[in-house]
Amino acid sequence: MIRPISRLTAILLMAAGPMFGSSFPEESGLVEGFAVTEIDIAQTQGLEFGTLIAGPAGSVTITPEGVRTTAGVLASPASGFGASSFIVTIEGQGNPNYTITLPGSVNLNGPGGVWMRVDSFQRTATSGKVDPRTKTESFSVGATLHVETGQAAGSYTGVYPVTVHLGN
Amino acid sequence: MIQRFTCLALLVLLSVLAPDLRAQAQSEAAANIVRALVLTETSELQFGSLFAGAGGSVTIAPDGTRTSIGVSLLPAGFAAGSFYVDDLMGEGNRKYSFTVLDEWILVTRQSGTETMVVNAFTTDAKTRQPWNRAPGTINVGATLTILADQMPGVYVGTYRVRVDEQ
Repeated sequence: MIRPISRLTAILLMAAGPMFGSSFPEESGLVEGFAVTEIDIAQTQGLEFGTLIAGPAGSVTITPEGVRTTAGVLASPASGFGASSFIVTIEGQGNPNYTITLPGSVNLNGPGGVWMRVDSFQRTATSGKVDPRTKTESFSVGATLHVETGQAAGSYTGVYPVTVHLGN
Repeated sequence: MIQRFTCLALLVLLSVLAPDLRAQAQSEAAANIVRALVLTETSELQFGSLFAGAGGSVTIAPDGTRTSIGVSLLPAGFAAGSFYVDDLMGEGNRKYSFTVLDEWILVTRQSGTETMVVNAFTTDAKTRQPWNRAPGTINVGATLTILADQMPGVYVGTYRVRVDEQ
């Protein structure tokens, strides 16, 4: 009964050691992977679909590269639009792999409780690694907005989560 | 029993000190929906017929009156440009602004290459309160400049206007 508990304690200590500043040589890939002490992500620009003209139903897509295409709806060419941008930063040492998780769909809320659905989130391709020199990596996200027939006029806003995971 | 407490203490310590290897950002998304307005030209801007002579200018005001400097005019055949702004959604009373996008344009002789300048566009859109209400009519005037010995003919050109909802 005692041995399994002791063994579990030993394993946890080994895994935790490099997180707090290891004495392992830095050239070890294993040590580099665990030497990152923090990862962070920040939005540098929001996702903007621009001004659309109410009428028939349709959709508007902003690609991760910032290109806008429409299907069935009219978009004001003078209105601003663009993909959202993010920057990933790490603290510590190493060149870790990371993955990005985007939501399936979210709603943009408008006047009087009406809403529009946003889905098909896509992002620009990334190396999946944070540059060890700058400790940063950038990427952009686009999505598709669905507009209903006679959609109520007004400003629609919402938020969506973007998550980065280290070590996958 | 002591061993169990030791293990539990270590687990608690690790959970407190272990770095967060996952991060999340709440990103913003936005769109703006506006209702459609339809802009239809109901009358072309026409300066009418005139004798060039030594050259001069002809001005059409938004109310349709015509004045000239240095050129002789034939009666009739002139008009201000008019546009009807309709509310496609049928809601009425929507506010909009009206703008002539061109500061000047060229009108070109049909079957020729000669040109004249049209500029100084004016409208009867409200000036104090820049917003008009749909449905409604907006009239446009302008000034045509004629050179001496201007080649006779019919001269045509286009100018651009735009409405923007408030």
